[in-house]
Amino acid sequence: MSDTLLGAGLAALAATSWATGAIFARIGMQHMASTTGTFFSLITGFVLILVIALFLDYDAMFAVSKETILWFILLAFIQFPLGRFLNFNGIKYAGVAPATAILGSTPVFSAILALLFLGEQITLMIGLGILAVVAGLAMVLYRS
Amino acid sequence: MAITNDKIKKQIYIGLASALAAAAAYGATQTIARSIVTGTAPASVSATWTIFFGMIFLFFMSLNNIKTDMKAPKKAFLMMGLAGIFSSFGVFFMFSALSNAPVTVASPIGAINPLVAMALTHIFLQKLERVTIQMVAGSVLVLLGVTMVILGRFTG
Repeated sequence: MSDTLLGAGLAALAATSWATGAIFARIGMQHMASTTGTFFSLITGFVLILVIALFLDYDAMFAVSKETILWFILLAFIQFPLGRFLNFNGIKYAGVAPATAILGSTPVFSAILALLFLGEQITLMIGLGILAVVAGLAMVLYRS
Repeated sequence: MAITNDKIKKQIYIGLASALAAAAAYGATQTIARSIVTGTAPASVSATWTIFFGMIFLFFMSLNNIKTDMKAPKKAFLMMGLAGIFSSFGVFFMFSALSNAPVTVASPIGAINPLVAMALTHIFLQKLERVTIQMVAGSVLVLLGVTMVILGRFTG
């Protein structure tokens, strides 16, 4: 099997894992607040990733500089109290289908920020892609 | 009845706004991670430390509800635990995909997750929510746009 085919298969597995996680979150959060639900989802996620990190990169785990730790804290703040909590809040109140459809637009936000702050150039393809995403989101939002 | 409908509408708006803000937050994370953290620590180490600090933030955020929520059925905790495991597996599989295939192949395939979620919702959550043809069409359009943006960024 070629590396590209293996990578494509792994990406499909990633998509299926995220979608399955959203379904479980929707069922679980019927009985608890989004904050508590997100907290418990992080505990199990942490244990799993910790085991993988200790197995793959034991030395690197404890060789992180203080400056890098500060960046991890900033990333953690954007990724979890904002990203995952708001994602789970979306799943709880709007439903899995509209929330995951909106969340699918993440690469576009990433591209817009890269255009604004990293000096990347906007091309015709990127511009048309952003328009298609906005149109798709409008359809999802209107019908929700 | 009108009040109930208004309340439901308000909750849906809050949910949609939350999902949109989450997409912006994840987009910001990707940009920051790409420009700062990449090359500083392996992916598994970055993920572990980031989740660790995220857990601390969420612990303080959930302090007000945690006492009440501890009375929730065990099934709810199991579901949230599984949600966390599958979300983490998703990140791990995507990092592995990116180490084997170019971003122009892996990212668009990863972006099909809303369509998979809609299929699973239709199969398993029919009692809780309905998937409309417009939602599927909108998601296909989002997927198409995201693929164009990724191809535009990474193929020049």
